[in-house]
Amino acid sequence: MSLRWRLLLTAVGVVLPLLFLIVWGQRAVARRMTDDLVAAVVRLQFESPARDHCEDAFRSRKHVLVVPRPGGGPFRARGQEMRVDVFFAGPSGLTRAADAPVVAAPLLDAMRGGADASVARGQGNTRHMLVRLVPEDNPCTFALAVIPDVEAPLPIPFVAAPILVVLLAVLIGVAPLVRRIRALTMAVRAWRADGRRRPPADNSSDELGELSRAFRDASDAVAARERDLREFIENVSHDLATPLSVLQGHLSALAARHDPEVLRQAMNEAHYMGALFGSLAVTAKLEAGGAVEDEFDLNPVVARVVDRHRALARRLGVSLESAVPEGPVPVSGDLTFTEQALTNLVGNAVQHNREGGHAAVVLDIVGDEFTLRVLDDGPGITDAEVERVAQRGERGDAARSRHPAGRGLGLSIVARVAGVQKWELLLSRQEPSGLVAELRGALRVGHMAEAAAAYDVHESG
Amino acid sequence: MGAILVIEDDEALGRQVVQQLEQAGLSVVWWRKGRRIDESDLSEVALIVLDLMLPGLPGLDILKHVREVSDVPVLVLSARQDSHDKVRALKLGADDYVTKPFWPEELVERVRARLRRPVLQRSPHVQVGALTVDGDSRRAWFAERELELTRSEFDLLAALARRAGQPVSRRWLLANVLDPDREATERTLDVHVSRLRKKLGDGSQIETVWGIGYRLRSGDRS
Repeated sequence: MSLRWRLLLTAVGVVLPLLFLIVWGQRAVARRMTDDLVAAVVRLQFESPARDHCEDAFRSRKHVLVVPRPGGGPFRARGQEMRVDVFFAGPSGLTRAADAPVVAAPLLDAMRGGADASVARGQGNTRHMLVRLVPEDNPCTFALAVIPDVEAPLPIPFVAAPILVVLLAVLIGVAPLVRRIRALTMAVRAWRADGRRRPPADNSSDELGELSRAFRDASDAVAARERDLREFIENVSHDLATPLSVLQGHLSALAARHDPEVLRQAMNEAHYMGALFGSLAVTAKLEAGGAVEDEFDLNPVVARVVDRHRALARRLGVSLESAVPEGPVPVSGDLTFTEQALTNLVGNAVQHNREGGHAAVVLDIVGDEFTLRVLDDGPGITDAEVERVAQRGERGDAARSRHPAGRGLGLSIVARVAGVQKWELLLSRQEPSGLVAELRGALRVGHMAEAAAAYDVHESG
Repeated sequence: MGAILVIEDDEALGRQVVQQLEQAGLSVVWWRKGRRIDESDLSEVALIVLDLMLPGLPGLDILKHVREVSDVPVLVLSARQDSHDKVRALKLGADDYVTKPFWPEELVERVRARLRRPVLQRSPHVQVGALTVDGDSRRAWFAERELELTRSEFDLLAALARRAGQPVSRRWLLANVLDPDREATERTLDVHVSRLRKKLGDGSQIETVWGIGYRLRSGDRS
């Protein structure tokens, strides 16, 4: 259902019951006025005859009063008169007239309670009114008036006019709103079809203006994200294309002559590309906020990552060693993120090194925290680079990680993973040369006892 | 030792994996499709290398079934970067996983590491080459000559011997071997090690490991 129809129906739904309430109130007031008028006329006409001439002939017949209808208004035909039949009754409600109706008990009860007049629904379309005329020892104590209850039919114009006015007001009021909503819808659709067509912002201060500005902000955010992503993909394809070209060159050289040095370099390129793929997958997940919280043991993660780099380290002539505690080191976080972060640290330590150099991975438990240190005695990184790594989110530039001077993507992923998992990343320079990267975080609490028990075994054994 | 069962549907990768493991001196059986493993077959399997994405019975289902009937080590090959899958595989009882792409050496290393298990020597009596350490009597012998060791020196030697061949970090030794109240400084540790080396004589097996700490050389270097 369109907004216009919905509003129209709501307006009718509100106006109609309101009109019925007004009609009902008006009729109640008119009835009350009629009753008061009839009571006054009856008293005026019959008070003294009832007191002075209450003989059989008088009270055995029906008296007819012609009373003007009071007021006007839409519910009563103005100027009409009505016939009111009047009978006389004693204190017990007995009447003499043959065609007199029976006096209802509630009317008598009300009079005995001290009322001067009381009204009740009579037979057919009438109301019966009992009016006290003289004291109770008289057979003409009460006059019973039979008031015809004739209502004017519901005045159609009176009901229709306000409804029409309200509907018209709604239509006129809603038209510009509907127009603006339609324009906004069209703009958003156009933006969806072509991301460059930014939805225009509505400057008005109402809710629709706010909505249009929210749409515009959202479209700007999406555009910014797209721009970042495009830049990132461009940088990454550049970074992938380079080693791939080198690899192709090595392979064709290998096809011509068997040179172990060329083979070694080709393998390094392949390793670099493999690491880049891992970083890409993790970056995509980091961007999407797709961290998975799980509990796992850090020991096998260290073993896996170190084993993965052994072949590379051997080829480069770098010694790679690792040490872990005897018991498990339970942590919570995302397993893939953690493994990629450590892969990047170890990959850097091995690759940004020299023949005869060292790389070491040390996992320790200190109190209720773990520390995971990756050390190397390669050239290390400058303070400026440390600073840059600390500024997370510079994704586009960070992809340029290939050169020894820039460990960009690698380290920025480590920093982001640490941030996501509420771990700390500390980078410091190793003397005389090299880098120490330390990840520090909480052990999983539920497993502290288990880890402690593992140590007890050793202390006693 | 039983054979390595490789369950891998990719022809090229499967052939490579089989070749690498065979070159490492292991006997290999290769399945190209996922299916249930009979309990009787499992008795001849030393380790399973299992791809998760398989035609036929999916890898995780095979793993679940294997774990119901056997403790044979399972090493999962996964192309996915999905943590959930790996954690699920580990929870279902996989012992380890290798993510593609991987180097042949990495896979062989992981398989060997699994076959070597259990690495931790929990028994109080440890024999490493010519060195014997007895935790019960707190005595140690080197080339059948009993060593006269102080309390700290013995604890240090025992800690290194328990994990012979693997580096042990200085932090761990400080926290778990030396008396934290009196002597737990890096310098004390170095002094203990140097005394221990002297007592062990020229054939000392205690190596300094750069960036980490110390290692007791074992016969087979890992």
